[in-house]
Amino acid sequence: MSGGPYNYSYIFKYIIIGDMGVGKSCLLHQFTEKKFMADCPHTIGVEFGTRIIEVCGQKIKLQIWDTAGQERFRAVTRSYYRGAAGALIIYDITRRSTYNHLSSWLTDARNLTNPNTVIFLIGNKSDLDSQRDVTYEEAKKFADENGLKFVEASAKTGENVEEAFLETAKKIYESIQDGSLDLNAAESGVQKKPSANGARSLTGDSSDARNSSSCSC
Amino acid sequence: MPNSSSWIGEVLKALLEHPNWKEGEEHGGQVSPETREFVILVMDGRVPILSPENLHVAHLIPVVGNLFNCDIDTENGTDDTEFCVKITTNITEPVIYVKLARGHRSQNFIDEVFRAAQNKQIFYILSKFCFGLSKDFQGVKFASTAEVQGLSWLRFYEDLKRHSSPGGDEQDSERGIDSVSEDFKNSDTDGEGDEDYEVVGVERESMAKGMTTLKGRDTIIKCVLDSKQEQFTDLAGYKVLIATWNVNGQSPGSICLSEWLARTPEPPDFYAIGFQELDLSKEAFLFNETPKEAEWLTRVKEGLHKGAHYKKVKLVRLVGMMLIVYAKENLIKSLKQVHMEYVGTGILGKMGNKGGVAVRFELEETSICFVNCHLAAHVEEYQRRNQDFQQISTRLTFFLQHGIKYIKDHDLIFWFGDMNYRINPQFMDAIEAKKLIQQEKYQKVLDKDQLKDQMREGNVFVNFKEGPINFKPTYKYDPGTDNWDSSEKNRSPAWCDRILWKGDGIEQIDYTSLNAYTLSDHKPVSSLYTANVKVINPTKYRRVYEEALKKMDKLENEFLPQVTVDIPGGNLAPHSNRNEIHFGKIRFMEPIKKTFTVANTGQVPVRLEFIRKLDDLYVCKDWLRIEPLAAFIQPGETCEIELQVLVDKKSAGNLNIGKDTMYDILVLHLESGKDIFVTVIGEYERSVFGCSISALVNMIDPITSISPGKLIELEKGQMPMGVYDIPKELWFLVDRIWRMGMQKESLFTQVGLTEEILQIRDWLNVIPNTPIPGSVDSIAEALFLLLESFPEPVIPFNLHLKCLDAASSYTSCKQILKLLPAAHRNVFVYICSFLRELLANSDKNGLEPKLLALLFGRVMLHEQNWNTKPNQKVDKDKATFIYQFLVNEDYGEDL
Repeated sequence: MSGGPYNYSYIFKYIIIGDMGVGKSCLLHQFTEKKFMADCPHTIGVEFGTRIIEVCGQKIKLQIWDTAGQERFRAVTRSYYRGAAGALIIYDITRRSTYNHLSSWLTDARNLTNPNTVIFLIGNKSDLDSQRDVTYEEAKKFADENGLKFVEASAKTGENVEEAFLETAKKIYESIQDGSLDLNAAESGVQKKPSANGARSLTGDSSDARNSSSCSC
Repeated sequence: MPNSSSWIGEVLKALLEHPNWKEGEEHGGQVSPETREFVILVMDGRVPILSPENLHVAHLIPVVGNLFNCDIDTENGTDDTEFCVKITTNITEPVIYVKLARGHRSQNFIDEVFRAAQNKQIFYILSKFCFGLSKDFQGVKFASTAEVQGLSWLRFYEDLKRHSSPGGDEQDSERGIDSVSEDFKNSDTDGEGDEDYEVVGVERESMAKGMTTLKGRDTIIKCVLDSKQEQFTDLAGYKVLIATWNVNGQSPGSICLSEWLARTPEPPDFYAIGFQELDLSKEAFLFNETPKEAEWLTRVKEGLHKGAHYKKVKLVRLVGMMLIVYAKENLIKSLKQVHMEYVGTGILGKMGNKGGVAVRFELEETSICFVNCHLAAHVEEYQRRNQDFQQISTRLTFFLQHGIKYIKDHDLIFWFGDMNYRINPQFMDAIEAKKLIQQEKYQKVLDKDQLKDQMREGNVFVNFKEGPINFKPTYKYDPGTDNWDSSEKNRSPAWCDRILWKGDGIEQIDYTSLNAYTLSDHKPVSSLYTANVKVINPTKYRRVYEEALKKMDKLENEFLPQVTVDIPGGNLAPHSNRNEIHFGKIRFMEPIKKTFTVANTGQVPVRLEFIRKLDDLYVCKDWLRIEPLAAFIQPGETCEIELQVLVDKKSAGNLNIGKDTMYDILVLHLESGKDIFVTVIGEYERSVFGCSISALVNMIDPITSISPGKLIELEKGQMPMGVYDIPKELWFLVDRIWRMGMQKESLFTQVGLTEEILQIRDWLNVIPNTPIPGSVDSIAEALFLLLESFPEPVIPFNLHLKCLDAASSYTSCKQILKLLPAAHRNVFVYICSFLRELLANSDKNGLEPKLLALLFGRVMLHEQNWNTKPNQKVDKDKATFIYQFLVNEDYGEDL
């Protein structure tokens, strides 16, 4: 038994940002609880959720900060970007205004996180295709131009929710693997947990991860 | 009692008792003293302890019998903050001192220990507590196996101790314990046996914080998985042949055993073959050596089913009791944790002429134990047989890598051998029994069977099963024949040789004796079973495992701190405006308080704190005060937070010019949880207080009739010359004093009435055609307030240092005045002239120039940073500066 099968080796910090009402909290809830929260109140503050996932055989604990989307809180929620390893920017495919604001969210994300932060664009409410206001192609183009990962997802049906969170983690993990993400940097958003094997892992840092077998998933 | 009880820094992390004790409890008073054995293992380890593996055994205290006492030690280390409990046992010379801090937890501990002492029970409760131990404790001399007779089980703990001590353990070498080559800790760990350790508590809170240990999480998930094992395992049936034969000390000769062992068409997967009375010689008895072991083994090997290749799993023999376990060759590598053990219950309660031998192993997810026994003989000794069974049950102990296991701890148990239970002679004599057997009316005879009877009574083989017996009694025959015992004893026939089992998943296929074998006075018996073994189904396992993980995640999320914020009237607000606190109109110097409630609706205590926003220096704006800033709320309890808004000289200026608004977002942070935003909203009613001199001298209309935009314009205008020479408000105030109070005693030192000051404020904001309200003292204070509220003081900030430097020279002071903006200079001269006038009336009002200089120095040169601590030197210099203008004769000449 190498270190126990239930351990996690890393903690990744995520932030979820985007306009009010695009479904940030619902996405988080769907991801952590596998349930859709129908009457989700507006987030007045910053919610916090965790889940352990597995990426490339590594257990990773995600620490997810779900921020208030109201414009008036923008100045305050900016404090939470610091040290995020992953940023999920959400818009609502049925409301163009939420899409139009993406560049401003993206600017914040870029300015307030470190260069290695994985930014993932999610068009939420894909279940409401009939009310679609933003085409997939248009958003995909925006994502490509800005070097973002992109999916359309539905917090209601759960479609692509898991994928978006896991894909982000995978990219972060790859950055650790190829050494571009320095775990020792204060704001990497990643903490390496010592494994249960004790002494060996106390010295284990990013080089430890780099030496291990390459990511095959 | 030793007096030198200096405390060692060691902390007791966990205590384990030897499970024999528990066994004793279960069986109430029927336990003989030697089963009341226990050991206190003092576990030590680094803090925090996250899993049993973090512990090592620091001390062993064997205790036998029921001598166990505890007392509060009033002489040692007892004071107000801690006290000492003395625990005495009978084996170890030193007593155990447990040093406790006073408090609730300790009280619990004491209660438990006393209760345990009263009932003569070991305080396994101890494992819940952590305490410092006395040095005397360290001196406990460990009694070796040889010294403490009958405590053979201590060997295991000795090993455990030796192997779990980190680093080179000097203590051990001092005690002369040989080192053992096997490394206990490094040996293969497959997680089994963990449950023999106390699981050290996992802090749920730290779990939520992500600080928990991986291992703790492991333990919990393992528990969840264990409880759901049937959901992810499939059953795989294995054929097991159990065989038993009391061979009466005979050599096998050339006997063929295949009729006994290979009587089915299909080869069984496992064999467990038990012999009794393999050798009745003295050599075997005294030295446990016998040539017959090899002889019988050869015959057994030959007799195994030819349809498969078998390999020996384990052979165990105690004198005449031998157990051989075989498995199909291809199954050998699937067997884990293969162990054998034996217990003698014969002469002296220890010797091996009677007792049990056992082999255990694990196959997939199932543990299987085979026990071959030979219980006490003689018709009337059924109680002794019961006792032998109990002895074997409680004393036969497998020492696995992760702890110890008893026979009862196995999923599947096969227990067989010469059990020696007879037909109860009181109810059926030999003749009748033989007659009924002749007629094959076995059941009638079995009704009088002692074993059946004792099992019904619950005295032996509780929860064990036996299949229907459809074969002749297996005892006692004249050797070499099929005839009943013809000796003068003329024993009644009996089913001495039996095969029983316990555990779900065992199905008996057949159960028979083999009468053709006439070698012994017993007939061999064998029984074929299907043993259903739990095999992990990877798909199902994955699903259950993921569920467990999910549950864990959910648990973690549930144990995040949760609170609700209840703002009076807040329920009426739309969702998006929750957590808003409206203060309505706010006026200068008029404090307003509002409260809201934070309720802990979660399952963990919450520490909350208002925290700073990014780049902010303070938790909130300077016109807001939060009380308390941090609090601790127990689950189900609430905390009231009071907010007070007060606009004073510090904040009025910025609010007047729109540099600040009455709007703030407070971040209420739950430690290791979410943050909640609380919005504070108010509407500030502008006032002349906080306006700049330059704005006031250009302000013709009252401030209430000026739009905010116009005010900002005035403030930004910075016009060198004003419409007025000095602010009209200043003139109104001074004029009022002039008229009312030039001769008033203790002017400027008497405090005004707040209510009147607010009325004066309102009057100045409107300038109605009525006299200024309020007493002279209130007006004087309003004057101070007005001067102090100028965002740029009368002497502008940039000149303060100059003033302080020049204070001693009137000429230099006058030079500085020339640097003042016109309106400021006007105000300064105006105030000074007024003060000189006041001093001219000093015979009436009793004012002194030094006092006035000090008071007006502070307000006309007020500090830029309101939080600056008063500095006597600075204040004195400021006063000196003002003083120059109050006392010098040539005042006015150059101004």
